[in-house]
Amino acid sequence: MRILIVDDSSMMRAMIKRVVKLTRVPVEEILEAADGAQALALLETNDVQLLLTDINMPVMSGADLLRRVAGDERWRHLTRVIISTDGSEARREQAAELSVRCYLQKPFSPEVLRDVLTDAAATERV
Amino acid sequence: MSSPTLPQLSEFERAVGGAIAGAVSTVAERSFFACVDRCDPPDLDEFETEWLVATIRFDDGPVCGSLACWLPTDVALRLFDAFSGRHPAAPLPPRHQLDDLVGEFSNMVCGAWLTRCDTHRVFRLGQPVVDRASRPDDDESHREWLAVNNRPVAIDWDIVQAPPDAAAAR
Repeated sequence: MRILIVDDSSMMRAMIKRVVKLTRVPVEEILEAADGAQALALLETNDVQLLLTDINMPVMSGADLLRRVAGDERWRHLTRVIISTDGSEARREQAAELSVRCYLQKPFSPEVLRDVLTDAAATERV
Repeated sequence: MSSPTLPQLSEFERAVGGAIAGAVSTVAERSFFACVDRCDPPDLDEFETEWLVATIRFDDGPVCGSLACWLPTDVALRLFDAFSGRHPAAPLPPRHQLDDLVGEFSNMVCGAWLTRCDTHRVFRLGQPVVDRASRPDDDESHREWLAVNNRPVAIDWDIVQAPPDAAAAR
């Protein structure tokens, strides 16, 4: 499984990366992007199975990124997960319309992310 | 040690302060494995450390305004270690990484608080701006002092558009 982490905080990306490694879920590669535009460029050139993205980012927000992904047939099978400080019901409803599999509110526990990864890995095997 | 006289707070201001303190507890305990308690304002003259302050603006949500987290450098470093897994004996992180960490801390605190304000409204957070200062500003009109791992941390808040119902800030 190839994972793309999208967050404008390099510390948050590093933390998510560390948690991913701790879960021992088999991961082929972890890619990183600091905004939605960088993420799109990486999606164009890499076969990514799991997208973990923040919402509030400069240049291109996570919501705009997810709209672009949802509108492109090439990424139909991409598992999408939001990791955001905004945990409002309103934001979660918006996310559901963008085919987001899971919504994690920061701060989140490592166990929650492990469950998301396990679920994504199982989906990939099917 | 003498404590400065606390200003008189309205019910709304107390509610906001309490809600922000709750958000700090959630973030500090869950992401940084730190203990948080309420505390009195410390005597800042006793502190020789530099302070980091991360200011974040918020709008389009239940309330609009800004929030600033003041952390002594040693507290920021401890939070950095807990978040990143850095060993305390390892070389100090570069300045931009510590700034990033304090910015992300303020981002999470602000997000946790605003989510609790009104879960039926989305909000927009600006990019955190991190500065350094020899001590927190003297204006303590909207400030919560909290002890994070027994060290003082100050949270300033400024609401420019209050909700009609004060309870929305809780």
